[in-house]
Amino acid sequence: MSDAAQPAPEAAAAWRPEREDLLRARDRAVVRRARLSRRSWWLMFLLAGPGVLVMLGENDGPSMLSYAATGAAYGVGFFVPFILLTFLMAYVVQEMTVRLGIATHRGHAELIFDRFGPFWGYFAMVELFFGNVLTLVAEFIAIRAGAAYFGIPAWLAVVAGTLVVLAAFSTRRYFTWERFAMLLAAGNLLFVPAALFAHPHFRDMAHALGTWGPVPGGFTPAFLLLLLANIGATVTPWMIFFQQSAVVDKGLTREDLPQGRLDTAIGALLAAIAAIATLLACVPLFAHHVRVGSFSGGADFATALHPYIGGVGSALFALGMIEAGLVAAMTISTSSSYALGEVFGKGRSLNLDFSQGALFYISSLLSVVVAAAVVLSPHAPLLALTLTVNVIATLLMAPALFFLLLLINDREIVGELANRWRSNLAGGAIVVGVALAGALYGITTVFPGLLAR
Amino acid sequence: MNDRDELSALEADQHSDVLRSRLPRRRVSKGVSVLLWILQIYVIAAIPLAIYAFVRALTH
Repeated sequence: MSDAAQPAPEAAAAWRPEREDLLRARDRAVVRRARLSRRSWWLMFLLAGPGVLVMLGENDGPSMLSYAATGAAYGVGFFVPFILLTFLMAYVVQEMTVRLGIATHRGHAELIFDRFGPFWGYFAMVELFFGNVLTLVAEFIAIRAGAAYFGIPAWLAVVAGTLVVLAAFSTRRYFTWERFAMLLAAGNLLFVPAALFAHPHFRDMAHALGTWGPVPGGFTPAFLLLLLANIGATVTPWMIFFQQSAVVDKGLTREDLPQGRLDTAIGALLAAIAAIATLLACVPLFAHHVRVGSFSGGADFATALHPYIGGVGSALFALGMIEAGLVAAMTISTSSSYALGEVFGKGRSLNLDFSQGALFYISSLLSVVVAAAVVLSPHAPLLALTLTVNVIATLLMAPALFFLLLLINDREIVGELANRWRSNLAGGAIVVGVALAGALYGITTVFPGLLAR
Repeated sequence: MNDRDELSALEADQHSDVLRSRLPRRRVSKGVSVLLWILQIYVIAAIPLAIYAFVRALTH
């Protein structure tokens, strides 16, 4: 225990530990016992969470729609190895957040605020919050669309989704929240059996992985747009803020770094499998020349797939869409709450009591309720909103990634966990590539005729 | 086991009272400042573009 945490003798009788510290310490004690007993699988089970959640959380409603559209438009080919590459990029970026969280025990928004001053701190937080609220709307659109396939009314789907997110918060316990979210996130793999119903040709898969082809139709503007959309579906600003804060909230320390890295790698692998499975499930639409340009949501894809992958396959696809929206709603709203608490110096933990973490819980509650209300508005332009959300999310990536690189090279706070030249080379290339792709995606979405000229 | 024993499982700088203190500001070089401002202008310019895309999607 730190000197600062030692109560004065006369106050010792009245001293009470903070709930947040006590719950985190109990989690750490379990981890310590697992480490001492050399039960490596149990240790990994305990320490897994932030990496798996951030990667499967990013396989959200808009991302899965993007992979579905890719499969329907291009079949098995270039995009199979490309999706693997994007998740490798995501791993490189997210691994930096694990090191930052472990080295500083502080969240990303807090580090920007402290190290670069309030101006940049508020700016980064406003950007994150703005993008997150809009993305939450897209997640509820996915929940509503997936439920529509089963004939569930929109209001019921949205209210049920909101209640699930709020129920997870009501546990006031990081570990419980995390396990609940991970259980739901396992539903991302529903796309795997859905893909098997499409009877994918594994020889085509092997060929695509070996040759990065074919590319039906060649390198057209539509191909470039899907390429950029797939990059945008893999690395977004909320992921950086969420994973670093979750690593801190979970209490990971330097000796947990190997497990933190493995957690991120497992998350990236599972998310890549789910993403490729979504693409494969939609390959029958490519084979039967079904036009998907006018599709507006997961329900449209599930309905169109029904004749090719059957009732069970398309139901799994629609369920996967609901899960994708639900898990992302949980992780994205939590990333906003973490950032608000960190910047304003208020409680920022899922271990907080409601009275201690009023700002933390109310901000999540408000963002979720506002997003749900927008989706339920009778005349809300949902398709236009989804489009705008994707554009804004990709445009906002550049500053977030730049701050990440600056912080992970800040040896005063990170010490020996700072980037080495190889990590900087890989990280720098990804930052530049993702930022350019984001800008190009944004510009081509705003001015779609630009590439056609 | 009492509360103090339990808290010993945390590292010194993991305690919430320590975490309430702010870290010192770092010195930001001119090059980094310029890059940060370029990115800020990029974002400020990007938001109206996104709003334009939203309005256009509504009218088409």
